[in-house]
Amino acid sequence: MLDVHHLRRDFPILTKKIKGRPLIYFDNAATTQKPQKVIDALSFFYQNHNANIHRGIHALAEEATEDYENARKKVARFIGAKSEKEVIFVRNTTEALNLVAYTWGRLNIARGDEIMTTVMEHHSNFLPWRQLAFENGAVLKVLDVDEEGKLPEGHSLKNQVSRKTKLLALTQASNVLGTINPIREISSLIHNSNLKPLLVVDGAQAIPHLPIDTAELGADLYAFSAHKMFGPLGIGILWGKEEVLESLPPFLFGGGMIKSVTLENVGFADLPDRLEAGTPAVADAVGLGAAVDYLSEIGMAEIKSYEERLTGLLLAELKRIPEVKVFGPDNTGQRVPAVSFTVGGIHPHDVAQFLNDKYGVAVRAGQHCAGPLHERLGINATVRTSLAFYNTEEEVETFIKGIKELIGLFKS
Amino acid sequence: MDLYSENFFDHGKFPRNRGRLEHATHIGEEINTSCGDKITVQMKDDQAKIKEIKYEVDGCLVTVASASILSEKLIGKKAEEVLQMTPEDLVKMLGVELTPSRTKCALLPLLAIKKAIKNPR
Repeated sequence: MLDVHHLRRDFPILTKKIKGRPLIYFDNAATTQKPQKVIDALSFFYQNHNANIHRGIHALAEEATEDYENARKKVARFIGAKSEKEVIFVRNTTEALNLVAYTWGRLNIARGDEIMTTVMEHHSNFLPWRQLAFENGAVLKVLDVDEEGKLPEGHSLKNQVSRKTKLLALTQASNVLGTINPIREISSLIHNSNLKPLLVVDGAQAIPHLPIDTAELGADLYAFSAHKMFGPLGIGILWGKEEVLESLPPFLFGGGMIKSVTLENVGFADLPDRLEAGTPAVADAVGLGAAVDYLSEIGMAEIKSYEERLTGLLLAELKRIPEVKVFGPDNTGQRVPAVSFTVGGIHPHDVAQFLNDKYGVAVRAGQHCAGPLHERLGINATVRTSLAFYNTEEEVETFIKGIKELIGLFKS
Repeated sequence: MDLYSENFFDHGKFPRNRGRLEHATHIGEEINTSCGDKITVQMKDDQAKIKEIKYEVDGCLVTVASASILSEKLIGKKAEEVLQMTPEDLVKMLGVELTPSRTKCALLPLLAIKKAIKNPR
């Protein structure tokens, strides 16, 4: 059983006061807070091992290189990669998805081909494909969601994928609806019918909440960001099956991604270096390694079951308030703890401002980088409450009290 | 004073001068790109002084309250004077504390009014 009050002590920022009240941080889908171990790993690196990696002969360069490659190994183990060659360091999920669009996409998408995505995607898993379709003369097909915020299943999904479909890009968990898409089922459904679209999965909202095993998942490529999983801002991962990554041409050109360069000839480096041009964010990689260690100590299965309970409480309490309309699935086993809602006619910005000012609660208001989804839902904006394992039942109760006071204030 | 102070909050909940102006002499429209809030202002002027302001708004409390307060306080002011109003002048006029992001909400009606002044029909 996860001891939340014990774990909270690992996060120094959680003792912060907002206008005299304890901070209640419910904006975890935007970014998560960092445990002391991650903060320490960053300063330890800069205090003891800082150097540029790979090329140096001196001791610090050796240490920094070792730190960087160790971090890669830790990430590889955490996501069940077959080898660390499958783990590419990038800046964030957005860069990982753009890398695929610019390399595999520009090479493999031809006029008349179809690229398929869904209406629930974050802009980072929508715009790169929209642009690719536009540039290469392909057709962008967008899967709709049902009233509960779920994608079509079985035949109705299979019928929409054809031989023309070269790429299917979808999120494992929606950052607005919370919906978990059954990636493995979708993957076997498609591949059993002899269709071979490249399956690209945005894992940004799933990886902080669910155990991820890329060997089992059925995806060809999987992208995520460190900062949404208690690691540093500014570093992310593109995981890919080795044969898929091998087929990608270089994305960025420059230092670190070559074997040799003369005026006449260039020999590119092997994976993973070939896809990591330039000096990488070494300290941030080390910080991500520390985050992964920290999560492994707690256990992702423990985190999942604790969060399911907390999300259940949040959903039940919200649904008891007549003015509140909640989007996304009811079943806590089919969603992550990102819960979006509206409160009567009250503008989402006013909801967020009131909760911050009077209750110290941090939530997000707006479209959450999901314009097409809000258009589909027929609303301009939502309030999003997104939980992490360090949130408590008491915090949820305080938040609910805040929503009720807000309604009273705006209605009186 | 905070957003929930009696006067400001009251303007937000019960905005004055909301609606359309018959025979407007000036019209201006602004959209807040970060949230999609929108305001259209119609005005009448009389010898370069603002005589009447009405507006249609789909926005948050801060945008609505700001529009409402401006629609009262700018009456009788010279167009030139209004064009020179800074965000600081506006915040002072509204009499509330605003964070940088909410200052943008409050500015929306002022920007629409300035646009209207420059846009005679």
